[in-house]
Amino acid sequence: MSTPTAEDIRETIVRIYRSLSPGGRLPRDHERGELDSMAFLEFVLSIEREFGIIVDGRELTEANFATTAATTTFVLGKLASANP
Amino acid sequence: MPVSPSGDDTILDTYSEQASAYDMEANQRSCWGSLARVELNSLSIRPGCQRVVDVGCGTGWALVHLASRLTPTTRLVGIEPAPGMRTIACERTSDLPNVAVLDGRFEAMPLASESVDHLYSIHAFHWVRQVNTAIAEIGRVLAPNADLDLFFAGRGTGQEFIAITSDILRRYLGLARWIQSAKLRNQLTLEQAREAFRDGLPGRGVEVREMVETHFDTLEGHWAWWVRIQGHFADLEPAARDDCFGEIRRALRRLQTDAGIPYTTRILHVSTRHALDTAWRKASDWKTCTKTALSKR
Repeated sequence: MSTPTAEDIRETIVRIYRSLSPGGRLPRDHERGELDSMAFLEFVLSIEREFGIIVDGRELTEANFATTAATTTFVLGKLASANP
Repeated sequence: MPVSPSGDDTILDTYSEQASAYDMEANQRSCWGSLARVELNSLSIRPGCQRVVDVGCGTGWALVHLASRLTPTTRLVGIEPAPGMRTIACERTSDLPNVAVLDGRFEAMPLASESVDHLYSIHAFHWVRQVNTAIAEIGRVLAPNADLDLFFAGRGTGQEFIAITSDILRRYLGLARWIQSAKLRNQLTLEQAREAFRDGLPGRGVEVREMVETHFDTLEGHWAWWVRIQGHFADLEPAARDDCFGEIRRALRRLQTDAGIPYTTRILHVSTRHALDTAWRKASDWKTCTKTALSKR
């Protein structure tokens, strides 16, 4: 299975986010989203399932999850380290 | 996602620490106190019932109430995992020979198989960590044709508060602890609850209904119960906690309407068909009951 591109990852993250956000709203590019803590927990678990990665507790930071772009970069890095 | 171990102890510690405040008037008069009374009054214990169990009995107020309604031949058993709550429940029921309070939880009840004729719980099942294990345990202890009434907070409860406090909590707690706070409770959607209970308790005619109600109260009225359940503040420094609470209170004030500050509960009622039909017949005017209770402020 080929490694997904950044755009593939971004689209998947947006799809997951919309499945959990109030009214299926899109995440805003440069702001925190609207997910509450339970939805955010599901968001992270869905990302783990979708990309076959494990998010360590120490990686749960705003730097990695504040925006769609940050989350995309984080997932790309995890996939790269798993498949060097 | 191995954030940290289970939050069971955090919740139990919080409830134990707050046990003495649990029965205070402000809490009893809150929307949760009013709902609990309506739910308790809706219970219909069948004549001849040998053993009734209250899981998550807290300070035992419901056991005392039911003991006054039932004949002395009915044994009442309260199960409570928080030591502080259990101590109060034991003291409160010490002069009631047909009532016992035991250490236990939904996932592990100190009861023989098929020994319970009616199992009920008021606002406790949303703290269950392992839903399927808990449902299997309920199925184990229930006698054939036993009745079941579980009332608990469903997903989406308190959405008004969540919408304006999430960002504050995320900022003060940090992302990891904020997410960890979500793991302290397990609020099911109506669909999730239906699937879990129908699969977990086959052949018992289990039904699940959702009761949605918006409660209006003062800031202090809501605050009386809100601080109690926030076990995830446990790791915050006192000064940071005070600042966080201050911001939350200011945010909640902005929700003020002419009727008060709204808070919408989505209570899930899981019941066997016999108990469900009876309970809903008795509480057919649910909203009137609740609003009447609140309007007495």
